Amino acid sequence: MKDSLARKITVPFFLIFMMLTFVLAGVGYLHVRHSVLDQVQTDMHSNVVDLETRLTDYTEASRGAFIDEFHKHALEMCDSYNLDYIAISVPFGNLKEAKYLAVVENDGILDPEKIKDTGSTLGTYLLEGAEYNVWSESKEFDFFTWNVDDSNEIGIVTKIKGPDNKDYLLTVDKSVHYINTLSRNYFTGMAAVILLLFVLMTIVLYIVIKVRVSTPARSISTAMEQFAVNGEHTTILLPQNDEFGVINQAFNKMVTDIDNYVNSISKLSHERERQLAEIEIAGKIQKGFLPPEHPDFKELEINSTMIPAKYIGGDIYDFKKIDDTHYYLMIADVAGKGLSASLYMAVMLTNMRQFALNNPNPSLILRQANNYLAAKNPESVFLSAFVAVYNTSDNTLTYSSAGHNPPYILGKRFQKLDNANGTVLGLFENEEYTNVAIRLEPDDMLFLYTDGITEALNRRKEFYTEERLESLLRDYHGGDLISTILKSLKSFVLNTEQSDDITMVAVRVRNENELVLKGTIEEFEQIKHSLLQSDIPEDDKLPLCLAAEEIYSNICAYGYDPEEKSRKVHFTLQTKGDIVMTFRDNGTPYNPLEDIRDDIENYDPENEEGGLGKYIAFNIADDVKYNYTNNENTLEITKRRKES
Amino acid sequence: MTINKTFENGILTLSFEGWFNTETAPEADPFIGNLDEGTEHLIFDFEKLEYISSAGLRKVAAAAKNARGIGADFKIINVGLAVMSVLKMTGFTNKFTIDAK
Repeated sequence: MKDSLARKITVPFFLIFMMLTFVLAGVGYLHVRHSVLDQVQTDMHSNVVDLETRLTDYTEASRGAFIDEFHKHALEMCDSYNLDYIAISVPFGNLKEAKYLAVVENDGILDPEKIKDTGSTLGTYLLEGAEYNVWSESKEFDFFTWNVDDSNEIGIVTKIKGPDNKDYLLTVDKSVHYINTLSRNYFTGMAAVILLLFVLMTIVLYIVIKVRVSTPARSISTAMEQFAVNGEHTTILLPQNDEFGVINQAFNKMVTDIDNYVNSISKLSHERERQLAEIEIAGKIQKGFLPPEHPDFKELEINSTMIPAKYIGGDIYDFKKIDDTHYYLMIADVAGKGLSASLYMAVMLTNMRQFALNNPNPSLILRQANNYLAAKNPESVFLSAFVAVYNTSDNTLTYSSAGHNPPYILGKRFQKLDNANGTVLGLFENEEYTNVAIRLEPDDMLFLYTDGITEALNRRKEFYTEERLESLLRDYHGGDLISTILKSLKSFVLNTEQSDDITMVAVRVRNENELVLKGTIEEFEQIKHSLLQSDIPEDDKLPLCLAAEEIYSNICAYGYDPEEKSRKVHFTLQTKGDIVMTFRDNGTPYNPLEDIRDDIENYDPENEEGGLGKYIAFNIADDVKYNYTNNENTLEITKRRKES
Repeated sequence: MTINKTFENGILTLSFEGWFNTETAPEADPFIGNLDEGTEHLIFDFEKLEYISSAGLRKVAAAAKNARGIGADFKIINVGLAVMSVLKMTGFTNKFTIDAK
């Protein structure tokens, strides 16, 4: 850890200590200098008094005797008291100057007549404040300082009696250079001692913080990091009763608690996952009971879907080719949802299919189903059902309903099949059901659904309603109906959770010559075969083949995303009256009628790529119609039959 | 589709038989992609060709372009009625030398 706590705290303290060291040493230096200076001044004063006393007896003596005596004592005092200079002088004139009487330096006697001071004549000097103060008797003695040859001098001046009992000035000088040296040495020593002290304090502080704060904090943070990053459940034991001890205990408790929670949560989620997986498996099993969503029947094109509300649903649909001429179609809705509904669903689906195989009669199938369920139904579960049987030999659809939402016939007409209604299955034994039969034309569509659609709820708790469904169905003119309804439903409910199973079955009666292709070039052989085998005039066969190839290869090349698996191209050939070839595909919307070239004379076969096929096809055709509805492209190529 | 090739005295003849359409057109690629060295005349013989669609026409155009590229001339011969009507419809008869059967 680079930024350890101990370092973070001690470094600023150390810097503060450094500054304190200089301040304290500075203060000490000034104090020492001041007190030493005081002592020096006191000493010098007593020197002066001493000299004055020694000379008192000679004030009556001759001038020469006095000076001799002065020389003697002054030299001695210079020597013993480390004085630099002692002078006796007398102010004269207007008291601005003084004349030297006798002068002694620490290395000998000077001739007063030869002393040259700055600003005055030989043997005289200018009076300064201190001398003036003393001479005017405002002070008994006074100190002064000045610089001689870069060394500080301190001086004392006082008034004494001299020869002839006259007043003279006595001046004594002493070098205080050694005081500065002394103070500086003192300052250096003091600073060193203080600094050493602070360094020691810093070290102690560092160690204390390290031991008492950093180390426990680090062991806690390490344990926390291991827990948070690696998920290691280390407990820590700090021998402390302070805040860290409290954090330590809280951390240990937290780790244990989290461990416990995680364990119980993972146990719960395991259990929940297992349950969900089982329900999902049940849902898959249930879907397995249902027939394939897009079966491949010769006479009927069937699309279906079942979207359970919660993994597993109570809706059923079934379709099965019973024999060469009969198709069985069924849709039902078990009251309630979830696991129990799905159990009934499985049982009823299997049973009713068996009844249909025994005898493809819708009302009989319903009667048998009702009696089967009503006989052993302690929970009074019931279901609504619609059963139809399509007979391909006469194109009739026979149907019967047990309280189910009426299906619709769409296409060239619009019809609601609500005229064969009986009671729901499972409540009362021996109920009777009636059959109704209608004739279906090619391209007619039977649309079956459950109330999961009409009763789908949006956020405002409104139903999707039969009216909405019906208006959508009335507008239907071919294409993928189920996707269209699902889209409409989705835009109605938006994000509201699906409340009931949604089931739809759309059954379209195929044309006789209808081909269902996957959109590969190889399958063109089927179209070619169908055209060559048909009863269209021989002269038209090759041109129509050519037109069909150009259209079909266009659809194969451009109409699909190659990753898309469920591509489907329907080819229908109608030869009664005019010859009409219809191509219907669920590829991307593409209108081939757009940008057909009308300047074939400018066509440059060597340098232009596309457009040729379309041109050929439409040149052969007498009439071309294109439309895109319900996610499907429909292209109709008509060739008029020549009058024979 | 069957394609027969003869190469004699700088004349490269490709004879086509059957249906020349989307499914079979790629079969022509090896023949027209690399014309023999020394080809002065490229001839497509359509005597036995029953049917041609735009995919076939594109190969014809590509062959003509390749021939031009090596300084050879290009010609289609023995064209039957059904194929001729397509060549006419698409204006190919104006662009290339085409002889009917």
